[in-house]
Amino acid sequence: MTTPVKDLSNAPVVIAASQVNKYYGQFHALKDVNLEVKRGEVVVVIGPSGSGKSTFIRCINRLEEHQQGKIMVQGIELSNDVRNIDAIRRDVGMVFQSFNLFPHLSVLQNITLAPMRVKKIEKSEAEKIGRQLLERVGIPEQADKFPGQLSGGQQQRVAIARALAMQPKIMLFDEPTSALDPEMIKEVLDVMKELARSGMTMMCVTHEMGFAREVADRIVFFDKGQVVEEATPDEFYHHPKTDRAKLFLSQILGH
Amino acid sequence: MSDFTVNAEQAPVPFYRDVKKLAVIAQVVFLLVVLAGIFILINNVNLGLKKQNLSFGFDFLPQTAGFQVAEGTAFGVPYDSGSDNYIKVILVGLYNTLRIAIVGMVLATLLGVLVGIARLSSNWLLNRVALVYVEILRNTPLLVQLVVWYFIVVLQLPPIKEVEPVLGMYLSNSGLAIPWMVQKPDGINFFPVTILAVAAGLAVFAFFVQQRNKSGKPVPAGQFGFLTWVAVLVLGFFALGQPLEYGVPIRGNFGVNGGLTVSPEFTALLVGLVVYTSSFIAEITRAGIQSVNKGQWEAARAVGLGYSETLQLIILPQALRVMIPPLGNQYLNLTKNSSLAVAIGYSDVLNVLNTSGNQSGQNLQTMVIAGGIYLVLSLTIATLVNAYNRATKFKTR
Amino acid sequence: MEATNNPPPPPARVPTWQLWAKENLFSNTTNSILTVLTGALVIWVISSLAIWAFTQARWGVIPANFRILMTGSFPTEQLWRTWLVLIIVCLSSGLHWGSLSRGEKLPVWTYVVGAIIALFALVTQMGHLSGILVPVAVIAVFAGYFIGQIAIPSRIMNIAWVVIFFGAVLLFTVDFGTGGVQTKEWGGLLLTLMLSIVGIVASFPLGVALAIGRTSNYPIISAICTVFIEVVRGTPLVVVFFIAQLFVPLLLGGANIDPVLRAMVGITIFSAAYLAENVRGGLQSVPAGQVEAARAVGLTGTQTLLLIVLPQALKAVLPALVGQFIGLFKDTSLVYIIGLKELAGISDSIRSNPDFIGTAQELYFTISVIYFIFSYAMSSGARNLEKKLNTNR
Repeated sequence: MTTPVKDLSNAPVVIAASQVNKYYGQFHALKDVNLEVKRGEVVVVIGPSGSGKSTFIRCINRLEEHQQGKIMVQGIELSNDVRNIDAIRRDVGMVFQSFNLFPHLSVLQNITLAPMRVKKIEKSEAEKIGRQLLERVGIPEQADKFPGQLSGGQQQRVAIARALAMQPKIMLFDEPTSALDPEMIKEVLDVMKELARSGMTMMCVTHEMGFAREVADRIVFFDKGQVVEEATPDEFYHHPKTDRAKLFLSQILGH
Repeated sequence: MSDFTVNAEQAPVPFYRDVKKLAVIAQVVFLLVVLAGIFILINNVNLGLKKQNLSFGFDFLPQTAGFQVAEGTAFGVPYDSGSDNYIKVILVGLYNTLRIAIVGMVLATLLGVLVGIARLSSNWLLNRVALVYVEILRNTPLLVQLVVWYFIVVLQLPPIKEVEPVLGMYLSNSGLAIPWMVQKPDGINFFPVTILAVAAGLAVFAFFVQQRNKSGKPVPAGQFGFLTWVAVLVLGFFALGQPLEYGVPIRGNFGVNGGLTVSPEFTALLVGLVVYTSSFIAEITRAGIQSVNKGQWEAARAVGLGYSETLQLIILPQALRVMIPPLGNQYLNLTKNSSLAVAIGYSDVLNVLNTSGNQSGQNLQTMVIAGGIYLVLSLTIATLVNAYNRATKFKTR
Repeated sequence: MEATNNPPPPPARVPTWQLWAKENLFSNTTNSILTVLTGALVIWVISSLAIWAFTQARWGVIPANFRILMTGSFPTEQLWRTWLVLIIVCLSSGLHWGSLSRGEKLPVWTYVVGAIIALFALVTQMGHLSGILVPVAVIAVFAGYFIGQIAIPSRIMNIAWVVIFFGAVLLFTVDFGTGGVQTKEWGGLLLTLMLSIVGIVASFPLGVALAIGRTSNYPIISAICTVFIEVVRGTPLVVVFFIAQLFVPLLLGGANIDPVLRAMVGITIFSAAYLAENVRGGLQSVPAGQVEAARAVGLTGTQTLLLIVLPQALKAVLPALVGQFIGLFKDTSLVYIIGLKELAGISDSIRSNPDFIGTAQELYFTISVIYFIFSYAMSSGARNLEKKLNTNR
């Protein structure tokens, strides 16, 4: 177990959420959430299901809309302004629980689509980047297959490559290994760890404790729409401060 | 602390970049374009009509229609071409449409379910014959089928003089005559009672279904509804002083009198619609039965039920739930398809409206009325099917 | 399902026809009775049909009117246009068939090509050149097949069909100096086919737009599209045709518009409403995660729709669209009611000709066979397509 040696004290804040509230009809999904993430920081978000952790990271690239409070990403406020939303989405990559690869496009096309259409990069250039990324996630030989022909772990690695193709400054992971068979989880986590070590700013909703301990700078614990506890992995797993965190840890570790 | 969070104060978002405002603007623009389109349409139609010295109005409706209708009444009230107006003749057409649609739905369902079961029979010959039946009917146009039924089958039947009655019924080239309870000429119009009976039956059915869903106790809602229907009919019959009498068709010199007689056009259209629709219902039945879990057959056989008992008591009731939505679609289609009556001259509502339009020179209005009537019929059927669907869905809880 | 599944016979028994008959026809008393009754019915139908077809039917009416049944009052000296289009269609079918079945056998097009060849066999009667043209067309199919296997990517063929469609419409109308053809001179099978093809092609953009509108998050747009779709779907096609006959000229300020064009407007609007419902099903079958992923990588709403959602939705509803096309093909017969001379209308005209009185049976039998061949071929094609799409997933 290695605790990453990172000096974040001088790093700028790239995600700043203050007093964020979100409602689904009557249901209060996020309650006064305050959170800051610095450049190069790896934050792991955990919490029971329905605690708002996924909702929160989906707010960061406007897949969900927050009703109150303020979210700044890279100094740009997430408002109703189309230009801001587009700018933030260009800088924020996202990986989903169910991969959400485009089934009608080949693996390489999945990766090159956004660079070509959004950044207007030449096809040959985009494909070069795409193949490099597939190399990086360890499946260069699958470039011309279709997503349906790949295993879950391979699909998720393609999804990571697809997100990286836009050269994002921040990566969001929404339970990236929950839909995977156990033997495939490692291959995805290895890619994520490599990404973390390369200095990428990451926010990951995941219950993978090994991953959290190895690369996370901070654990954020959500419950009932609130940030209940923030701590380093060691502190959080060994000396949780709140009762709710203790209960949650006993449930995920105790079975 | 950071080089990013400083410029927190931003200029207000211009409207053309605000997603919320853009959504509203897009919709308002769309609405305006549609309204402008409708306005231009109406304007052009009015201009065009003016050129032809016509105007778009419905003043002609209370005028005397002055053309004969071969059969049907305005829901029990006889129609007189010499004095009655367009509204009344349209009602006659509507009555004829409803008559053929409702009878057609019942017969098509019976025939279709039988063919559907035959499609699944273990008897190879029956199975193949049912398949050929379904494929031929589904792959040729209804219009051609209707023309064939009318010109080649019904009109080629022997004339009434040469026909021998079967069970008191005459089927000849002048149509079909069957024994029936018919309205006495001097009796009170019984038609409202039949409507009332159906409405009461449906209401009782709906009420008990609701009760059943609330209490969870088994209530035979269907039987109660049926009994109510019969009871209202019988009560109405006696309350109105027995306005109906049992009539038997009797052959005269020029045709048959007594009982219920329908024209060759009605006969051909009914047969055509029933046979065509049955082929679709057969496929729906087949799919419905196949959707029932195989374990149900095995379980039913295991407790000692025979093939037909299993089918009736176990499989069909379950298949019905899957079948209802597509079946409702077929009822809708049958009703809309009855408008093909124009091709063989049956006096359905479209045919009557078409004649009215030609007679009065107001074709555009009569066709708009036709569209409106069919729309209401479609929506009514859709609503009934949805309601029934919802009612039966709850049962599965 | 249970009822048709007979237990597999034990391996020791040699399957003979007696055994087969016992198992499938006379397995018990009820079955035996059913077999005898059904058999009697089949024998009666087939024998009456055979007696009629071989002894009573006056088949002469068909060859005598074959050109009219196929093309209506299309000017005889302009028939080269239909031949040209037919040969191009044959060639392209072959090319497409070949390009799709590279390495694997694809049965869909075999049916279509089969139907076209069958048609050619019937068309033999058309003009003195047909002795040369029929073989040319058949050769075109197979030449196309082999070329397609080697050289043509199937994506190009999709574009080619659009070009062929517009080319055919031009060829069927435009005057090249030797006199043009007017749409009102189209008739018979040609009119039936043109009405259904124009109907589905022209309704496609409108139908897709309506489907997108109906599923959009904008309540006003969604409501307007829903009302349009439901009103059209609640109206019988005959009424739509009647209204189109009256409305279309009025909309253009009382201009004189050819009835065939009016019918096309009617069928396009009608077909668009049904197409919209089919496409809506496809749009709703695309998981929400697809849109989220597309938005997350930075695609705009329009790009997401065009590049991610629509391609998946249309692929999912392809079999349903073929089904709709078959329905449309049969429904074109309704233009008979507004007096156009497609297959059913032209048959009606022929049997009113004093020379051919009393030939209704022969005519309607023939056109039924034509309708059947086309729509059965297409529905088998659709079934195969559905299987292929299902296994691809």
